[in-house]
Amino acid sequence: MTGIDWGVFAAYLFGVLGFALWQSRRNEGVEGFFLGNRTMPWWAIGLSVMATQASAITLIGTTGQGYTDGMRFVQTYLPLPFAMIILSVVFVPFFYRAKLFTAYEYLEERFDAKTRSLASFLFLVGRAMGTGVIMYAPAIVLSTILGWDERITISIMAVFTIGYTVTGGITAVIWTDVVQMLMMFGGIVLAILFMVAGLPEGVGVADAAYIGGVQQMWNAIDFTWDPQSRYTIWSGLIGGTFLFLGYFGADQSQVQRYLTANSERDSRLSLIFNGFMKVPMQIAILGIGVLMFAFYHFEQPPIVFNEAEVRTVMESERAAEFEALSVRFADAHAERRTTVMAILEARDLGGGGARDLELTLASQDATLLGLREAAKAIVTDIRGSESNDTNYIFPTWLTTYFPVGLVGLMIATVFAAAMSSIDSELTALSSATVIDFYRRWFRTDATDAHYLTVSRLATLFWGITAWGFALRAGQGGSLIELVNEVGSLVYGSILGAFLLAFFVPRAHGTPAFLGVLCGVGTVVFVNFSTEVGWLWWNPIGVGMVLVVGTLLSFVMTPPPSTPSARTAP
Amino acid sequence: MTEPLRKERDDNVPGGPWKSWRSIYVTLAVWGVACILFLIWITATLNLDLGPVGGGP
Repeated sequence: MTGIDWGVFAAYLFGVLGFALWQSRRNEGVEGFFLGNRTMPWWAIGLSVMATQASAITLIGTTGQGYTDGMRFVQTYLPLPFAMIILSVVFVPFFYRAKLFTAYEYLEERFDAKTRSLASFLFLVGRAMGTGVIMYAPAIVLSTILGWDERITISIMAVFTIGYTVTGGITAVIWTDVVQMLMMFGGIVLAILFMVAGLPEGVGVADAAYIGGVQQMWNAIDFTWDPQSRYTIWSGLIGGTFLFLGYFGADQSQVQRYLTANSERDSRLSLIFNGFMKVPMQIAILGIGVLMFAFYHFEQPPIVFNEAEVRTVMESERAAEFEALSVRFADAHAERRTTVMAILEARDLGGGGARDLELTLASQDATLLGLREAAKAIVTDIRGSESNDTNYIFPTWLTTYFPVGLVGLMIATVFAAAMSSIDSELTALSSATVIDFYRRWFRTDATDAHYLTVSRLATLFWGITAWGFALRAGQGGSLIELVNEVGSLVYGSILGAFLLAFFVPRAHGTPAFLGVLCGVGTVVFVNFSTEVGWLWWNPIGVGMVLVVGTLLSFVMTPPPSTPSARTAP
Repeated sequence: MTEPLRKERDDNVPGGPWKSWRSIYVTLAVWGVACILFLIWITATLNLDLGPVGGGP
């Protein structure tokens, strides 16, 4: 980063912060702090819905996913348009008309207080860890650029973001997200342009795409039926549907967003907007990862993408060994580059001899992979814990190949993206804590000012908790997977409770409560005892809650009181 | 008593080119299917099954 980059970065960051604080002046009382007094327009909420889900992880983790695993992760997002339709038709009317603060309030109106508290508690557990991961993502970027240990960058960002979140409300969050999301769209376009422009002379985007195809990286759709395979069209469409219904329909961080709309129509439109935009955005971001993969067939990649770890190794007693591996890696890459150019030439000449060249390429890939694994093993040995540099791939490319000024802008985009998401998540955690627990169980009749103060303290508490989790997140592999996996442990069961409430008129409190417990227990068992992919955890959780909740509702005697008229199905 | 001929204006419609919620849902569903077909096309045309390759850094 040059001085100009730092200037752009600082200007953008403080500009966004100032804008957020300026917007937060409108917050008055708890309804202003958590729901923006229900005055937000649909397009701002729609962008905020996208921004909250996207965060910095989308740029860093998903591009890394595209680089290492190709396009197949996109299958997870395919059911999103259909999930948005279901949410608009089924969920929004129930939530919006009930004038709720949190999604879980509905479960008390429909079932009972203990079911509401359990669902809210599960949300808090799952989301607190997820927020830690979101906090970790941009710290990686700064760690790579500054050469600092990531624990230092995590801590600096945590202190900064928590302080800002405690003073800001949902109004500031949503408007900041609008700016951030527009920046992200711009960043995606810029990344594709510079990726193409950075290819060697004589090599075009079609050539890079061809090499990606030879390496089987355009594997967007997989029709095989294998529950243990993480990403197939079936796990995507079935598991993904439940994942998104759970995330957008039962996760307070998203429900809170569309509760801020000034009408039911605007709530629906914000989700439909997301339905149209999300899949193309994910295709573009994963495509950047695949193009980056092809790009590094022509330009030499680092043997390990985490520069800070490389520096640590080079200061250790195993520096000479690491250096020798790096030299062999450079030689192997040069040989592979020659093969790749020959493959392109053979293609242009009609394909003769391409098969032999591709076998040579496979052999050279294996050599490069072996050298890289050996280098990572040294890093792991020196670091004392497993090294995973998937999330460093995009930041490294960015700082190496982007022009002066734009590096700072892209880094600012990543940083602000994370900040806005953390802000949203902390606000959601705070609202669930205060509304579903504190105001429900401990102080039912305090003043609005009191609840506002408690809300800010709750935000502080969850910020510190997420900070602690962020310090552990580096050992969890791909960030985007980690967030979804953590959420999938509980989303299915929470979603099951809502579906039980909407579609099973006979269902009542205690069976619903026991159903949710069975759902979570089953998913945890499946996680630790089987190899079933995490996308399947959501339908398993939903199924358990619906089956157990429905059966017990027929067996157990319902309480004498009936659900209120506005919440019954 | 007959029903009034003029229907009251319904504010709860999507707006723009969509006159009803059903029409915007159908549009979104068609969009979702189009995205899937596009990705099937990408996999079929760009992903070249030419041999045991892949996985390099």
